Amino acid sequence: MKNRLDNLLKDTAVYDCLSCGKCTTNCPLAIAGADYSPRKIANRAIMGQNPAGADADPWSCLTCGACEAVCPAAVDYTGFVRRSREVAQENGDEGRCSHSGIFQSLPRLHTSPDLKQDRLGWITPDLEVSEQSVIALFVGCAPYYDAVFENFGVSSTASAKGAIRLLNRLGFAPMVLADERCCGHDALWNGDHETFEKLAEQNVAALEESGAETVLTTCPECFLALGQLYPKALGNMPFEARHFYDFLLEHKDRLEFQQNGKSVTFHDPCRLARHAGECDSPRDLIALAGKELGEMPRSRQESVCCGTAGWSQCSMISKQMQRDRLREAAATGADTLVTACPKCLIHLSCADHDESTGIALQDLTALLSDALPET
Amino acid sequence: MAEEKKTGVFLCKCGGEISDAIELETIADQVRERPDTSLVEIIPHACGPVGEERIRQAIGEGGFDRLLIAGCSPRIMEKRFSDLCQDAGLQDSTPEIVNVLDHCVRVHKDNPEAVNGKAQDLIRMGLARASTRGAAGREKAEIISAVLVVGGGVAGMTAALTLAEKGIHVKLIERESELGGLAARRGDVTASGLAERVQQSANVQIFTGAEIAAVSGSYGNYDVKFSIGSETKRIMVGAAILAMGAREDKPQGHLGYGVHENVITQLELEQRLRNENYLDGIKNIVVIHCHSKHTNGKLTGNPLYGTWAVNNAIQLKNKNPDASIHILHDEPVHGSGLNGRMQEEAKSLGISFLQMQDETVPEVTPLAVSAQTNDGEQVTLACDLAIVSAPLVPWESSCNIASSFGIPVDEFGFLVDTLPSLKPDQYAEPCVHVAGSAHWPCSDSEAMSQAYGRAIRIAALIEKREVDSSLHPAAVDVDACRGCSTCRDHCPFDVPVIKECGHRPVAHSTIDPFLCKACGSCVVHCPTGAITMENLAEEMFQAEIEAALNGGEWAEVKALAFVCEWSGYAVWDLIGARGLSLPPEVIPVRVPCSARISPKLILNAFQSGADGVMMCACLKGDCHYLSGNLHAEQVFNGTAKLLGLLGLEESRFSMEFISPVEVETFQSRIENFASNVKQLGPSPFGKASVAEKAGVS
Repeated sequence: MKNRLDNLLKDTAVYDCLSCGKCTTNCPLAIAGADYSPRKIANRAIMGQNPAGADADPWSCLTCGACEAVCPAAVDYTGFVRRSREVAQENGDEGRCSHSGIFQSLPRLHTSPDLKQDRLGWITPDLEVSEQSVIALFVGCAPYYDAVFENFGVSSTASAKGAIRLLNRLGFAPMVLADERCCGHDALWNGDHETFEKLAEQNVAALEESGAETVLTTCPECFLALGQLYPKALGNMPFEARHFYDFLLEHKDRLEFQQNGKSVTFHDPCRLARHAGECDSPRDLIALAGKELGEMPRSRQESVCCGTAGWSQCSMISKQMQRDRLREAAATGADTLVTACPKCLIHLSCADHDESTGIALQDLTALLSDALPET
Repeated sequence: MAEEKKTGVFLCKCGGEISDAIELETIADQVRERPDTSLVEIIPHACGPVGEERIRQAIGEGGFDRLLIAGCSPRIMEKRFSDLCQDAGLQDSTPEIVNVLDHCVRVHKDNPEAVNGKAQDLIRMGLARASTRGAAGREKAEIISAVLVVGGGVAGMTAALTLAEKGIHVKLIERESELGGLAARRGDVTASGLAERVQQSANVQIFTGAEIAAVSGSYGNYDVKFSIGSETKRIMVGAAILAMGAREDKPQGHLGYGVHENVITQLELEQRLRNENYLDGIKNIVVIHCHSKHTNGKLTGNPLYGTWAVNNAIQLKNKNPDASIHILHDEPVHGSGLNGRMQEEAKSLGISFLQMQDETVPEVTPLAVSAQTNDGEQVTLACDLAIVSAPLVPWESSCNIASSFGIPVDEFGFLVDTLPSLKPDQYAEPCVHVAGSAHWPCSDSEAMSQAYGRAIRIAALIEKREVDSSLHPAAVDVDACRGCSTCRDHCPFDVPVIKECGHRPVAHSTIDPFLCKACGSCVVHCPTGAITMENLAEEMFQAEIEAALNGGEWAEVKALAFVCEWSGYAVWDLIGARGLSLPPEVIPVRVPCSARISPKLILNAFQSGADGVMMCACLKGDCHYLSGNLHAEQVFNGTAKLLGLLGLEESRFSMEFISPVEVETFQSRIENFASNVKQLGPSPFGKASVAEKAGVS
């Protein structure tokens, strides 16, 4: 065990920590008033505390990466947290799960080899899909999110539908897999490496069998999983994973939008902006659709997390962060707060539900689809 | 880790009934090998004096922290063994009781192979509960020895006097300037007699012309503010009896009431009869007693109104023997009034009863009432005086008073009882009781007997000097709470309160352990997982589920039935007691209320290898927690949707609403469920993971 913890700290460069505290000053939890300090946790680990032990806190971190963005010693703090969680999971500690643990259970149920899902009910007849296509749209957990949050007024399949509509307009009828499984992003980040690996293998096998050459994702977590985490775990992929925005921009000359001049502000999801480094493409698309963009003070790589990650540890601090973010968005004067991650949309809508600032919330893909001219 | 706790296990032979069917020695050997058990013994009769003495002795010798008895129903034995544990000094005095007799031996007697396997499963589940259960403990609070009685009618005054005679101080609040309520308005002598005694009682402090403004505090300790004119007063009481009574709902504009001066209500008649000369010159009287139209059917089903109408007609006939009196009534009629002895008496006095045709309404003019009788005849009755039966409805203020004490009201605004057939005289809130017509229109004598009953219960509480909190109260981790009020929305009793708290950025929920009824609904619905029940924790159920599904190769498929204590579990016991059989593949998991069954437990059951999951709840309207089963139905629907997306066959997941007496119905539903699951075979989830898990542990 001691060796294992030692390796954990070495691999994630925690030993390099200069104890400067920049991480804590930039940590959104600490800023929102939580009793949480990455520096303290790193230092205690260096002093020999088991970061997954009973007196440690492996679960509060949002793994948003704000600390790493300012760390002068390049400590892989989120990696340290992720691996601490693996140790915690082995001891039967999976943190405090949101929504009765549904989203911790579903990925595990998805690992069943005999799984035969009935998940395509949202594909309406006006949407053109094709089993023969070499372009696959990986829609992620959207149908499941809809089942849980339908009473909440947030539709996650709206962006999947929007993506198909946009692709149809470009002349593509994408393939949507009937037995696509959860991408495993959250399982990995919550320390359930075994589930992640199973899901990765099963998804890659299914995609390979489908003959897809390009796999498009709108969800930043699916994008990271397919584009970065799977190759890291399993080697070269039999397909190319691309973000949907990137694909749209490649074909932008053929895209036409109604220029209705609605004003929007954009909330960069941590996974897209900091983890994948993608800040320009959503903005380019917003401009292409003729929307006026009002930036929030905390934007691009300095964006702030939507309050919770991995369907875990939601708290009063999460709400505080969401409330601050909504106010910040409303202060730009924009009509709509646009985001690019189904979870950001759900979390911000949740806070808006309790205490509305009046600003509308929408996913970028759905917004783009809505801005298509009538045919 | 604090997993050092040991369980002492007693396997009861039940005089041979269990030991003849099950190889107890084999089970004892298996159990002995577990690290979480210390003592394992087989005893002939756990409940007999020798058995109890042996258990007591074993507790005295020490060596284990918790007691598990595999024998018969915890519904019968839990209290007894809990008392024994407490008496013998076992710190954790909640015993785990495994019902091997009713849930296994008796129901599977025709399947000797399954009996042993199932018994092992049930005992393993009990051990899993014992080693993962949190400590049970009740909080205690001192109870203030003064009682508030709201309403100075017959019920309120009776309650006040009953308490006062027991030496308990009573604060009686009446909105009107005089005591007596509806009875006094009717000129009832009972009311004036009671009022006199109340006024003379040294233990009753009377506040007339007073209206309740605000109530805070809880259970044994209420802070009540009320106003008399412009003055505000404040009293502290430990308990309350709500007896606000009801008012007559005047049928304004219907049946000529409010249009013709000679159309009055039963209550108005009684008031006017106090004037000796009122009936002078009145020859023809028609009593209109119909349920429909203006009464919204509110006269239906309550015997009070019939009694009232006929009794008043008899009074009229006695005072004015020459008058002709017709009672026009419609179906259905109930009670002693229209079809009992009183009706015979009325008929013998010459009062005539005319039943109207269904759905017809009498037409009332200043001089006559015409109606269609049920044999199709159109009759016109001369009428100097028409008396209309009007229903009693709660006062508008009744709802506010009820809600400030956490008592729910029904669609009409009457205060709602817990299920009277199962818990007579008991309210959801142990320190607040309701008596009289605030609760449902009732006669003076009924109101008085309710008042006696409830006053005696309150007196017993006050004499105990302290109240216990709920045994498994839900608790909020305030740091994890978003203050979203989902818990409050899903609490059948509105217990959670969302509070702003100075230094916290957001408001949070608080749950009073004395008010919590421990149904588990808030725990299940809290989106952040901030609410937990220590003694009925998710981890405990999870361990129990895994214990039920891991190991035991005796069945090809296994299904779990989460059974509510009051319906499914009770019927399971009865099925055994009646010697009926059940498919062994379905394993019961006991929950306090169906509302405690979370999506996580259902999904994890499938993940752990269950081939089917059933939720069992009380019939709608019969829930011991008022609406716990409806909250459970939401969970069922939501989870069914997820399982549908996962492609799981529909019949693997079902929900049953069952009455605790529907033994055969429940038996056939379980059989049906089991045969569906058997037909489908192993579920697509789980089997692999079970094998894996068994390998790990």
